[in-house]
Amino acid sequence: MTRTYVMVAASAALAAVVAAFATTPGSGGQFRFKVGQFDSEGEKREIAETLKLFSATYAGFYVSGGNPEGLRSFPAEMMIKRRIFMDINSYREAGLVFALDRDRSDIKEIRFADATHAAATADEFWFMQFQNAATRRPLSAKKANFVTVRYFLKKQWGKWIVLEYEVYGQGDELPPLETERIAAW
Amino acid sequence: MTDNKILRAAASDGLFLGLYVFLAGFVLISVSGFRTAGSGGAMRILHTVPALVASGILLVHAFARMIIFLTAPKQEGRGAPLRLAGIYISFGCALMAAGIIISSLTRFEASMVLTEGQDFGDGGAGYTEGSVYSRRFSNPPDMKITMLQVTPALYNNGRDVLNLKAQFGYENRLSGNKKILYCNSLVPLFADGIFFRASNFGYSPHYRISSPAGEVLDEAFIIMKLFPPGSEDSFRIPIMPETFYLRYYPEGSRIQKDTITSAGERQGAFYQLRIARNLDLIVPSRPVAAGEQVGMGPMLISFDEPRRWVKIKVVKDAGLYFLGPGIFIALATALWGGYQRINSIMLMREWADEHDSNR
Repeated sequence: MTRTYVMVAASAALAAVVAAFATTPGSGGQFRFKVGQFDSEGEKREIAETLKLFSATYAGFYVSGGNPEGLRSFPAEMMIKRRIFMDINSYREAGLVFALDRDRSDIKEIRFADATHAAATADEFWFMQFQNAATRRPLSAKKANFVTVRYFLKKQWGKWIVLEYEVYGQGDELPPLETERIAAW
Repeated sequence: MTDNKILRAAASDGLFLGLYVFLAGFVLISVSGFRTAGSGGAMRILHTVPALVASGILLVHAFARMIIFLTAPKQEGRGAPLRLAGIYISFGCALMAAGIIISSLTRFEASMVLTEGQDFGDGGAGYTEGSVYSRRFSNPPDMKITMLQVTPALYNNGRDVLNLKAQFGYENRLSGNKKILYCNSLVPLFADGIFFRASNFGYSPHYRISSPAGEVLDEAFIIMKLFPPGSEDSFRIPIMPETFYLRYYPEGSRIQKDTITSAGERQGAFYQLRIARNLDLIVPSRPVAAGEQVGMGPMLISFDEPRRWVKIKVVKDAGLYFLGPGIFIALATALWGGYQRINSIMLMREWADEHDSNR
């Protein structure tokens, strides 16, 4: 009977060890996240820096009429980059430059689904103006645009990048942010 | 009775319990997501190397136990049922282990999302990207499906699904067999060797982009997660930088002035639309009725009444024909054997009490 109990206990321990290590890469980080050993403040600072770089580079692409300098360090997924340049190209074909300048950004919340997925909600204030592409003469009044942006980020190769974002107007009700939705990206 | 020490070691109770504890523990810990963001389900975990190794050992163990029981001298009276239970449990365990191994070679699993009226296969829609799980010797179903009707049964709050029913036309393209099938979200439907189960539903609005002159530039159905009412989803049209955010209220809604719009109470079904061009909100949030056109720069967009879509999970797995019966036989026999053992112990106690009182 003792040998049976030993066998059962050894099997349970072996199951735990094998399950712990026979998993996908990065599982050590997920385990640390689940048991609370996760530097959330440090990661939040990194995310804030990422969003700062994102906004600055995003504005730079538009203001320059599509100069790709900074594209390599732009912390965004390929589809986002493509959408931005598709937009800039359509303005350029119309002889326009859409000048953007971010005046203010307040990060309201950063929530983690796991060690490599997060969502950040920020209130942003942008100034926008259409200009003539050749002469940079203003073609419209400067428009103030207050939006709330929810960014979905993923940590890849040690850096946070923006996978997607959702734009809300003033007074819009933001849908509840569930962990599954953040991790889905 | 056999004196083969290897056979007896292979059939030992400790190994039996140890294998089950290992398998159960491994699956539970892996499914819990304690180490990973997602496991893919218990069946996929059973297809991993540690589970397959344990299943292989369990198969050998089950056969060893069957040999031990079958070669043991026949017992009369109280011992007979227990020997029989041992044979059946071992047989059930062998079926389970074989089922896991066969499943790891033959399982095909995938999901499809179909709108009412939409076809699957034969040039129609395909499986949802990333949902196909196909093992080496799997035999994916060769079928055509036409989704006919999606009927959700909701709780009184109108937000939670009690049961989701889907009616669809099914055609087996190999045999030519055609029939109408009904599946739901509670119990999987088994038809033609395939399991079908409805798992989710939503709405597919039909958008139409047109010029001010009325020329239709683009139109299509878009599958969106717009249930329960008030849920928001978004879509983009290829080669356009705009993002369209939609919510759908099929029964109308009382809208709070300070949350969505100042429109107040609104009768009848309507959409809540918002359009952004990258980080620029070009159309702020506003209610839109079916067919109502909204300007977005040089173009107009409108949405018709939506149709329902349903997500159907399809499973074809030869291992389930062994795993299911094996679990049933092992469990039923274990319960029966347990009852026999308790009965036997109680009878022995009665005999012992009678013997003591007769002294």
